[in-house]
Amino acid sequence: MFTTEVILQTLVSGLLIGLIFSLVAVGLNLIFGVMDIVNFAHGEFLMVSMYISYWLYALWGIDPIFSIAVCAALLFLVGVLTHKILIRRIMDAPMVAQIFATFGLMIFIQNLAFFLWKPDYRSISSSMVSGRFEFLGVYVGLPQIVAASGALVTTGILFYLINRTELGRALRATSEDREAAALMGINTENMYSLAWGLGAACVGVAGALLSIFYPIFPQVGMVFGLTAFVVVVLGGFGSITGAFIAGIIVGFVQVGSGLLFPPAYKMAFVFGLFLLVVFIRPQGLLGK
Amino acid sequence: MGFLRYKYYFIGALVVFFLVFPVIFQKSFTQHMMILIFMYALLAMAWNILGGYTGQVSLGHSVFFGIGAYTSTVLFMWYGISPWIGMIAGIIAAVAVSLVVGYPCFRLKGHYFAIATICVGEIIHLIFLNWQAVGGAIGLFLPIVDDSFIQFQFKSKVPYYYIIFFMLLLSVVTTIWIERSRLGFYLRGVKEDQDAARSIGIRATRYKMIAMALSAAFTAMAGTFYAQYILFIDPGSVLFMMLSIQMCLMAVLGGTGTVWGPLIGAFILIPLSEVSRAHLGGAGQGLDLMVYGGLIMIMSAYKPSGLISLFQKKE
Amino acid sequence: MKTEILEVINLTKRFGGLTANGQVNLTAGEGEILGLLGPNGAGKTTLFNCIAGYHRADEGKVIFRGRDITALPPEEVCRCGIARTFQLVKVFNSMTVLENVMCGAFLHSYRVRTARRKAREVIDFLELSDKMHIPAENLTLPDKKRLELARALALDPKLIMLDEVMAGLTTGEIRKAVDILSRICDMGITLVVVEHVMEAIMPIAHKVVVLDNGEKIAEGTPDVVSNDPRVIEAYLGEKYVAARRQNQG
Repeated sequence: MFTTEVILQTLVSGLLIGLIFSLVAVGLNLIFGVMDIVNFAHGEFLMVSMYISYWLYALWGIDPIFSIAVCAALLFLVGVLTHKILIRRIMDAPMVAQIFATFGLMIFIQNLAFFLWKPDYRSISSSMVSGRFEFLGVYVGLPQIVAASGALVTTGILFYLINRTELGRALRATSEDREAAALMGINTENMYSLAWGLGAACVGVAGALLSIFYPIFPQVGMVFGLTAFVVVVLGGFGSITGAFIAGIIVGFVQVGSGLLFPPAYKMAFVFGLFLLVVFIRPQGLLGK
Repeated sequence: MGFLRYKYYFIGALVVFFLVFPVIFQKSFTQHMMILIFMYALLAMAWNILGGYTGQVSLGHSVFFGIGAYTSTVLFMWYGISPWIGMIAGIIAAVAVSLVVGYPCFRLKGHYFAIATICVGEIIHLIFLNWQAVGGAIGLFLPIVDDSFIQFQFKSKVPYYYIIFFMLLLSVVTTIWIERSRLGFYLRGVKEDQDAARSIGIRATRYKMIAMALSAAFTAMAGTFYAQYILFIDPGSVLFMMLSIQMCLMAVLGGTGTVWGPLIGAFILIPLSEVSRAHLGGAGQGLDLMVYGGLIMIMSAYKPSGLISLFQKKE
Repeated sequence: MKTEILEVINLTKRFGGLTANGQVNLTAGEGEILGLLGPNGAGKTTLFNCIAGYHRADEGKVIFRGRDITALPPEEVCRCGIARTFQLVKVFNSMTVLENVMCGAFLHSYRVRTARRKAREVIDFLELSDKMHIPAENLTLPDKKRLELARALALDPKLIMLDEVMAGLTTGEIRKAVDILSRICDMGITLVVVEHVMEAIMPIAHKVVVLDNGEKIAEGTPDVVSNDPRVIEAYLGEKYVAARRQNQG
């Protein structure tokens, strides 16, 4: 049963979905890294992006590939607005209030989607990007490859942005020491909004990419959101590289567990991984 | 300060009112509403012990509800054991699980702890979904028997009403007792500043476990009640994440760490949710939770101490 | 001959490559006031935290009243009879003064009434009575420090460790604080005091230990230590010592 083909298939599938997990987690990590706040609504941002992509397709026939930029821009806006309207007020609040603020946002957005669009599953049936091909006995869908590549590229862009530009340096400075950064003339409020905007934009891209082949429904955010938490914890809060590697690992775990156990338990392994990491090595692979 | 003196009369009047409620309001639906409100209030009070007083935000509490419900139901269906005994068994099981899960989790800081509880909740949900012996996704239908106290089943809603009312009273009394005892002081200390608490000899982990056990116990109690009232349980109704969320929502809305906060939260949210569901039907799906979510956001941002702070005077 | 209530033997604590405490030896006599001095970064607070159980020493032992407390967590160290205050005051902000002190008093009794009575006694002793029902977050800094001390006293400790308790106080407040410390010492409680403010600790300390770069460089009565050239050098640098030598020579 465990032929090379099967193992290769698992690895490839895991890698492809893992890269998307990475992108979602990178966005989450950015927010946490800069301001120590866990965005429980992160999965819902993804869901919103997927719906935007879907409606652009359903109403105006725009292929998801072209929606990527729109989704990223709109989600950037959503992120910034979230910071300015909600997050700013809870920056110095007790942790319980911080948890519940983004948690409330998650419930709000998810149920807004329920209310507007019903729990129906939707999907984009004919994208430009379709079909699959095969090599070495491994079947790979073109949408998955495109999505994974898109995720990889976006992660790379973000990495470059954070580590090699002035803006990125300002962000990193703010994340290390809010007061020192302010003294150096960095507008920390803007940095926070930027972090939220970029974090949400990452998820915006991921959503558009996912919508090519993944079903779209109000709860889709929960699954990816929770997985993103696992990824961030495994990779280490605050480390983009960590999130990247961890995303791929979690992809392997999720697909791989389907080999040995009924697929219904897939998520259980992901959650189990979270608990494992948190008890054994809380700082994750590369965390601070 | 004048208002406070009336507080006790007010509460006394309320208790009397609730005691005669089923006599005044005979409509089945009204009684059903009240029973639901009491049950959710009990859940909110239970959550509050761990989340409000101790500051450990759990988002997976439905686990204990489900364990309570399943334990008493399975014992009743397979061995004919009275659900009251089953309730005790359910409480013991829930407490055991809470301690086993809690002990390692308590080392985690706030956000991690919350996410860990979500993970545990989801894992257990998945387990029960696939556990065919106890019904799996289909669930369990409790056999209908004649009116019997021993077997915890009644044709009329009135006995259920009084049972859940007294369960709720028990939780209120317990919470008041906690607040006034050393346990309450210690929990508040642990919540406020764990390092400082430990430096004055407070064994933080031990007290967190105590709070966890009490919280799980009351939740499981409600679980058994639910099973005996609705006579049908499945993972979707007793082990789902939304329930966990609702539990803490009520407490947060009303005011965590207080005796009356969760009650206020329940009395506002449950009627709201039931009414919106009744009037809007399918179209209203999600509307009530949208309001929940919106309220929680607003609360966190503007009134983190909950609605009850409107009634409290600042010194 | 006073008995040694606290013995720190060869204590070493490393953080990564940095040795915060290197082979530190000190003792505190029962009923004594021991001053722990040294420039910033000397390792005083690390030593404190090792004794109090917040850090685990890499090498060495801490013996308190004949019992090895090296590996004990903070709450157990407290239960052995050691109380401590924090450099950045840690009172329970949402509780009143009375409730804060009661938290300490609860160590010896679970009864609320007993704890309240004990707390009231301590509050009276430290002259905080008029502020008894004020939430701690509304107190001034010196009052917060006094509250933290009150909470510690309510534990009926045998030894209190104070971490820079004089920081941020005015001269008048310092004088009052020194007076309080003397009175506590008169009660038979041993005090180990980390301090920067010399005029506060030198007059009342029986013995002083000076750390520099994680190691003990001097030990003795305040007079002896303040004239020790190594101590002067540690605080003021080589140039000062050289200048002084030049002036004296």
